[in-house]
Amino acid sequence: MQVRRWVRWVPPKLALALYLLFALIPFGWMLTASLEPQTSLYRAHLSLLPNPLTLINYRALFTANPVAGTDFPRYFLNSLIVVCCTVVLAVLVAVPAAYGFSRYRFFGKDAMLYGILLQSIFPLVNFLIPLYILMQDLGLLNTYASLIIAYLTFSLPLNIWILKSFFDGIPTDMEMSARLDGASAWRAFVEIAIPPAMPGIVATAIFTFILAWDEYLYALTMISTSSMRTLPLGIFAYFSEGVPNWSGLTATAIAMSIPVIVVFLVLQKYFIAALTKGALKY
Amino acid sequence: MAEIRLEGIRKTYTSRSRDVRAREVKAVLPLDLLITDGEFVTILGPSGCGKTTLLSMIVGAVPPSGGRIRVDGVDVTDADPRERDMAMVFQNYALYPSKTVRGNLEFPLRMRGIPSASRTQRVDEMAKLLGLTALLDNYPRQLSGGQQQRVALGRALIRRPKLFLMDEPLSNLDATLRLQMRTEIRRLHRELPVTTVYVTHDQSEAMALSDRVVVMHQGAVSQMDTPEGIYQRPANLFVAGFVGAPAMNLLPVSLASSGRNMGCTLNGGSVAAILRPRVPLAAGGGVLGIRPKHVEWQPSVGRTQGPWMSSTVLETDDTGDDTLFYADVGGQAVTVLERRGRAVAVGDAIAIRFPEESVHLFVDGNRVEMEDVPVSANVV
Amino acid sequence: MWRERLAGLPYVMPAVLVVIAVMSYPFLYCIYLSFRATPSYTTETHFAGLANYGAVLNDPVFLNSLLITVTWTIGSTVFDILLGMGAALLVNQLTWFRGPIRAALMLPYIVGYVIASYAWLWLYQAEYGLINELLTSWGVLSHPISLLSSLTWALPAVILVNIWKTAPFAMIMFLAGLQSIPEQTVMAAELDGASKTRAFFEIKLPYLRRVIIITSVVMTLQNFNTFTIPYIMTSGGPLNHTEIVSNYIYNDAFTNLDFGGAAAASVVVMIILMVFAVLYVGSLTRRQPGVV
Repeated sequence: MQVRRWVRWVPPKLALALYLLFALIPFGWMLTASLEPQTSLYRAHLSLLPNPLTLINYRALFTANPVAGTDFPRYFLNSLIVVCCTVVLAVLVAVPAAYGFSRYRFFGKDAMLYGILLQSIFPLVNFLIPLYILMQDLGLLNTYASLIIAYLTFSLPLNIWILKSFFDGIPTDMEMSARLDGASAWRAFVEIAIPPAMPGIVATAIFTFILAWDEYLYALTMISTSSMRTLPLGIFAYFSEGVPNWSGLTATAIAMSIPVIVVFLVLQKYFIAALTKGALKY
Repeated sequence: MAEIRLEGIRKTYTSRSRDVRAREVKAVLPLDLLITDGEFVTILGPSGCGKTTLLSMIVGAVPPSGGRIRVDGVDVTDADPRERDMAMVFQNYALYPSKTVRGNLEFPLRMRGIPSASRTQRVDEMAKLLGLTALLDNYPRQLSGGQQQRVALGRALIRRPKLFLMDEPLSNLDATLRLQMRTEIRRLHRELPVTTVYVTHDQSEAMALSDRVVVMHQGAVSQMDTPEGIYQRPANLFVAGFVGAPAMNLLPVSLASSGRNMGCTLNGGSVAAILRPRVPLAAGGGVLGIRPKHVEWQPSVGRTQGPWMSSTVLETDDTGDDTLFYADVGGQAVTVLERRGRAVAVGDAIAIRFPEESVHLFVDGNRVEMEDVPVSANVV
Repeated sequence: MWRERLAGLPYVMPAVLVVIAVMSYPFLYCIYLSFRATPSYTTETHFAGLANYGAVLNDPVFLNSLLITVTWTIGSTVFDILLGMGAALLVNQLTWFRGPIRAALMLPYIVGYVIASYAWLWLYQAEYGLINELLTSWGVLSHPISLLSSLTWALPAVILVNIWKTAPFAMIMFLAGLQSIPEQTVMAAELDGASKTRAFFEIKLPYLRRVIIITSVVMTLQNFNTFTIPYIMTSGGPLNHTEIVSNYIYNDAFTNLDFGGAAAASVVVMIILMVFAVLYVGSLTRRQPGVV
């Protein structure tokens, strides 16, 4: 009886191990490359252990290399500013909107709600051309603002969707009793409705962060001066030389991944809770 | 149909709780139970007493921390639920929503490889037995609670399992339906006498359905006896207070012996009863139990004498059929059930008496056996 | 909810205005542009009727990109669902290390398309990439090849990258679905003698129907609308074999400087997607008694 148990136990665990391997090997391989000096990359070897181990590539990140066009600290800063502003603004705009759609009835509500959600089925390229022209006319090319505005907007459909379902799930009793106690609608919203919705708000922030940090197309289009580049663009600089600088590239990629991974690991339960709610809402 | 034997079955949960005392939770203390072929045994107790854990161990969902389970002599303790040839009815029916009633009833037979013609016949038979023939092509979602429960019963019984388990199956039904289904279950058990273990917190269900009742409290067996035994000879304070509605009066008394007799005095000073225990008791404290319906009372005329105690009515609760009222006897509240229709009003002065043959005495929580002596011997 | 008809408006206005400005207006402007000729040497445009549409719909490169995109989408989504479901089933059974394993499996999704593209570029690297190393040392290849330049293998290769990145989303959705299946019903099936596989297909799957449909639709749309992976890894090559629709539109606009044509192509894509969306919303709202 016990032997049969063991035999049944193994294949699933093996399959899981294989998938884990599949998921993580690319990271491991990049990490190894980033920890080796450039010269040792160019011999064929099949080991995950860096040999010899060196931090030279990471140190190189911190010094700008105008010749190669790589300036990690600058790009990191740009990404950070853009993404943080985006997240803050996205939350500020999406939370009241989701609350409004959840709690109120007004003329055109369905049209607005579904209109917002509907736009998210189209590829981002579609909006790109007119937006590019618009930003050009407004003189906003090559500014943080152009990206922030775009990212903020594209995150709205998903954010409003998640937050609305959170608000729908919070009973209105407490808000009603606050109103009866004399609170204004706004105060009821801020002080009574928002606290229980915090998990949803955090999830929204995470989604927006991940989305904006990784965004490439709009950054590619709106930004052409190298000093304003965000990280996704910055990595590309390593390709501009004849032979791509894999050491620098992998180090940059790893460094670029770290903030997102940290944010996710710390807040993952909110992230997963929000996705779970979305999956079961129907 | 089979004989089930539980030997030393127990379950302890260990957690890594900060509080050392809360670390080991003894959900079920070691117990032995023999259920004979075709017997209907109910495991009765309040929530948290371990009855569901016990059931889960029998069916194989939870592995026991110790002990063995034998079905017809075969040790199934390590077997998967699939292999135990048991069937179960759940509180929320657990029907397969994507299948029709026929599909649900058929499922166990299909899984065992029973050929199609035979399946259809058995499904039709079972449907007829349960009154489901008209509903065979409906889906669970289209059925009422009672109908769903009957489908659940049918699905469980259709393959004639060795053991039939029911986990509070009637709790989700409304009161009238519950009574109806209770009769159904009794009838079913007569037609198909499968060995049955039934779990509930409703003591009237336990009394109505079972051949034997196992009362559980905080993981341990309080009493294992026929329904009659549980009701008329509760072994301890817990069973006494749990079985019977309205609940038995449990009144603290002090005990003083005089010869072979033992006098029980309530806190207020009235002598509630004079009893003759089989084994003489030391003086001290105890608990006197008497069911509200056994308390005798009459309107007070003048001084009370003899075994009667004077009392005032505190509250009345007229349910239409009977009247339940609370009387103050020397500071102690006594619940009385009046079934003959006499009028009772708050503030009435009445006299109360506890007939010796209806009185139970508990010392240190356990029942004290009395001598069978004619009542007259206890008159003071 | 309260009946003050206008009271809710201030809450939603910022969001609505932003969306109108940044999405609706470009949407309409795009349609407008699609009917105008946009010569590259000037910012003047003039009305051109259906000329752009004619050009686009007859352009073999566009039609090719549609084909590639459909292949890409179906290939990615199908394996996303399969892999996601498999992973969800496996992770759901775990008793220890469930949290860390789940987090590790989500990493590809979290780091984003850009990192995914560069990581796999390194893996596929013609001389030193892991893939080549493995294949040569196992004797499958006699010498390292550049997968991304191969006419037959480039598309599967980039699809694999997309699957790698997007499958965890399906996994999470299905994990949630699995956890919503009532335990007692599964136990009932077990007691009735169902084996693990039969229990999955006959009992569990009906409960998962909705989440599978929703996940499929969402992922189909997401996959159809990707841009980054082919752009970074192959620039749509070799010979347009990995050029998906988003790449086509981008190239048309910013390399060929034909905004009008690109706009027309965008509109064609939007129409296709709207038809798709309508069809699938229908299957969600269908409610038969036997459907869970």
